[in-house]
This record gives sequence, C-alpha cells and structure tokens, in this order.
Amino acid sequence: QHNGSQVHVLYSTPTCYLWELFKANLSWSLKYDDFFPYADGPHHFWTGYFTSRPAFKRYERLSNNFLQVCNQLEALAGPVARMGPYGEGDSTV
Amino acid sequence: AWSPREIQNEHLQVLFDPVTGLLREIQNLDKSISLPVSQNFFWYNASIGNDDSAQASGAYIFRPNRSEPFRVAGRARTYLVKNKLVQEVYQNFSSWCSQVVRLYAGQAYVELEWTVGPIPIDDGLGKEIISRFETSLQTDGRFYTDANGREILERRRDYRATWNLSQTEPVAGNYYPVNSRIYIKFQLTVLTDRSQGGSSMVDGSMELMVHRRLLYDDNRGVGEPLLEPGVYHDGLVVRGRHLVFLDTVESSAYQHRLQAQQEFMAPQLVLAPGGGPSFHRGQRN
Repeated sequence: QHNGSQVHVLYSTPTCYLWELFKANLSWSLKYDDFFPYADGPHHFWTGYFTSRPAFKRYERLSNNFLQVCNQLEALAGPVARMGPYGEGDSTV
Repeated sequence: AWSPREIQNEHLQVLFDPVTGLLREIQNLDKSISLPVSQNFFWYNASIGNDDSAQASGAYIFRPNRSEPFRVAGRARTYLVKNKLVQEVYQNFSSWCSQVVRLYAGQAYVELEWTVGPIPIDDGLGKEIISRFETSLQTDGRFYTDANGREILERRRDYRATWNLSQTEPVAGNYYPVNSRIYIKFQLTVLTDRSQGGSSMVDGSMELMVHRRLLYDDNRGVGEPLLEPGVYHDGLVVRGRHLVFLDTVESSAYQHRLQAQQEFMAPQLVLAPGGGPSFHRGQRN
C-alpha cells in the first residue's frame, strides 16, 4: 500500500480464506441440488464421460467388491492373514 | 418364425411380442401390477460439429447430431431356455448387439444381460448406444437418479432448480450420471452394474447409455477420439446387466436399496480341489 492502493495482497491457503469468511458471520443462501450436468458453454455438455470406457468402469466396480471381501477376510483372520508362503507381508493397511 | 411369448417365476411374468421378439410387458404377480414396457437398443449419431458449434462428441462431451436415435433393429431373433432354476429369452438384435432376458427362480427382478460391440464404424459415423424402456406412464418430465449410490435426486427435463435454463442440447443437456439406479414413477426402476449416463427423453421413457465409439476428439485435452480397440482391434465388446424392478412407489425403495447393496457387495467365489467323489458326466449322486 506504499503507493496508495486499497488492495491488500497476502500469502494464504484455502483454509485461511475460509476462516476469514467464517469470521465475517454472514448469512449464506442454501443449495439443495447438485451441479449436474456440467457444461462449459452452449452445446458443450460434459455428459459423455458418464458412459465412456464402460469396461474399465465395470472393472473398477468389481475391484472394489473384491477389495471389500479381502478387507473383511483379513480382519476376520487376524495377524495370520499377513503370513504368506515367503514370510510376513509388508502391508500396513 | 415362432417366438417365445412369456417367461415367469413366483414374483414376475415377462411377456414378449411374438412378432418382434421384443420385451412387451412386465407383471408383478405379488402386487397384481402389470405394465406394458417395450425395451430396445438405439444409437445416437455422434456430432462432428455443425453451424451451431464446432463441438464434436468425444470422450468427455456427448453431442448427438440429431435428437432422435436410430434403432439397432426393429425385431430380435429369439431363443428360449426354461428349466427349474432359470427362464431366459436370448435376443439377437444384430451381429454386434444381443441380450439375455433372465428370471431366476425366486428373484424379484428381471435381469437384462446386454452385450454390445464391436460397434461398427465402417460407415464413418460415431455411435453412442443406449438401452431404452418405453411405457405410457405419465411422468411429467420427471425421473430420478442416485448420487454416487447414496441419495436419490429428482431430475426434470429441460429444467434447472437454481437458474432459468436456456437449453442448447435437448438430449445431452438432460443426461445425468447413473451410478447405481434410475427410475420413473410409478415405479419402474433399473439398477446398473457400473456407472452410466441416463435420462428420460419423453414422458414414460427411460434410457441408459451402455457403450460409445467415436471418431473425433472433443478438444478438452486428451487429443484422441474414444476408440477402444478391444482384443481383436475391431472395437471393444462390453457386457453388462440391468436389473429391472416393477413395484409400487411405496415399496420400490425397499426392493432397490437392498438389491443395490447386494450388487455392490456381491459374494466372492473361490474354487479349490476337494477330496470328495469326482464328477462324472450324467452322474446324479
């Protein structure tokens, strides 16, 4: 502000910015719906990727199913679940 | 040619048109509800850009070059299987599109197992394939989709809750993500086995996009068209399932919530050699 500017620029983070908004003690309007479908201009609807690469989309869903089964079996078996044919596994999860 | 007219279990009866082989009606026997439903596969012709906008359909962006999709076929060649465990109608729409409509014993939904691909592009046209259900239900432009498999949000055709929409894409601008389910009241629900795009283009109808193959990039950074080669480099074949429920508005949530959970956290099958008697052909213990 040496040359009379009314703007104060400072190093910050998103959290520090939100803290200032919180401290201002304002009333905010409410949003109840979501932000779909997204478009970045007329005729430019980002609704194709909802379906794009359907095989990978199924592979991911199936892999999550498998991961949950693995997690449950590991929790059920206890420490012995970490023992493999070549010794103890390094997984910490 | 003769076509099957119906498959049935304790809860449901599914009727087929004997001439076209297409699904024609679903009956919920427990609730004595019957609803004429036709189901077929269609494809949107992908835009490559026009006078309104240079935007092409691509990996991110959906832009059909006309609002009306083309039917894959007007009729399906069918084959019927009935035994104690399952009743199935195999439907063959074309060399690259087929489906099995299935009712297992005791199952409260109709299972549609679709197989789509390799999507032909010899005609130089990008294609986006949908499965569409058509009924005469008065749905008032409203349909319902899930948010990441959790809460259900009401969607209204050509409408936005938070601003006055000037619709530029009557099809693409009404597509919403369907991660686990979509429904129209009263009440026809479809559960998916993966995330897909879905919409209701006219009252009483509901559609899900199952596969897409495009010849042009949509100019958002990837710099390549969505052309999955598949194992034989002639286009990827994809298979998936749609689970269809017909029930009252009051009891539908109970049905689709539990079944969606069972699909998401399905049993895992593991095989190991056992010490028991070995199997011989024709052996019945």
